[in-house]
Amino acid sequence: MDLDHASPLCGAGMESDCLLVRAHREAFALIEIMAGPEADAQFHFTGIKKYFNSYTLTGRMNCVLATYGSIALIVLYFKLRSKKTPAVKAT
Amino acid sequence: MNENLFASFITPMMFGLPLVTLIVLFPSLLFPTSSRLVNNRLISLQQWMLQLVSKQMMSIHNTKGQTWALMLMSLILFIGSTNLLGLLPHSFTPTTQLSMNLGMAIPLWAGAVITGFRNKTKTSLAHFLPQGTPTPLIPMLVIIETISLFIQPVALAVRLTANITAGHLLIHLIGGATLALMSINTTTALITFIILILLTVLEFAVAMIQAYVFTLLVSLYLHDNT
Repeated sequence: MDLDHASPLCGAGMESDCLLVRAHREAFALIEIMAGPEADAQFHFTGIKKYFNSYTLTGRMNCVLATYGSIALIVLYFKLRSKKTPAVKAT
Repeated sequence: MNENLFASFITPMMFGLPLVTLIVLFPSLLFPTSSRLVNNRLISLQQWMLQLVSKQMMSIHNTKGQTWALMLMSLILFIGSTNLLGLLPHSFTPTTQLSMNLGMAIPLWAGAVITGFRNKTKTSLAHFLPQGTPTPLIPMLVIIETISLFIQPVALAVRLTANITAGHLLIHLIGGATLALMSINTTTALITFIILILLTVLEFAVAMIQAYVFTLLVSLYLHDNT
């Protein structure tokens, strides 16, 4: 992977920058290459994996929302259960 | 001795009135506004430095991110000048106060994150799950990524506070040790004094580096969200 040409600053006359800034630019270039909706087209999932997977943007978003929803449901369940159970039992 | 060690971190008061507002505003006096096309040496030097830093830092951002240029440049100038002024003897450094650094870190981080959620909701939510995660690990990784997101402003603030406070404490301790050793052993006192000089040079570098790191990380959070 040629990060110099993947960087958006190629040809902007910035070749003489210091090592720190070059590393900074290359880190940003890597982030841009890894993510992005155009990368989703290469994945062809079927069934439930089409909506819940860790490769496409939609799949990742749905997994995150499902995780948060599950946590919210678990918290709600325990809150409602503690309300139903009386604090002191009559003898 | 113990009481004197932390005395420099207490917010200064004069006749019961807090001086901290004046101290925080003071660095702005060192950056005069220019009213001429060709300025004096001080302003020209400051403008050249500001252009260099803004070119390096803002060239990576898109149009949306570059709207934050004024904010980020003000941030790096403020933290850098405050840290450097704090190296003057008997001065108070506002960036040693965690409250101050949290007050800078949290709004900037929150602004970047909220911008990301407003403009790129899908991508922002998808960031909580790294690409290619095995299915059984998905819930755990989502929770870990959420925690790491909320840790970011705290880490920003604590990094700056700890670095500046530790440096000042070290200078205080080694300075005190040099003075104490002068009457005991002059050679050891001389060695300690050389260490103190080297530490002061290091603290000058740390003051500027910490300002750059703080601003760079805010810039990175902004880039992730624009």
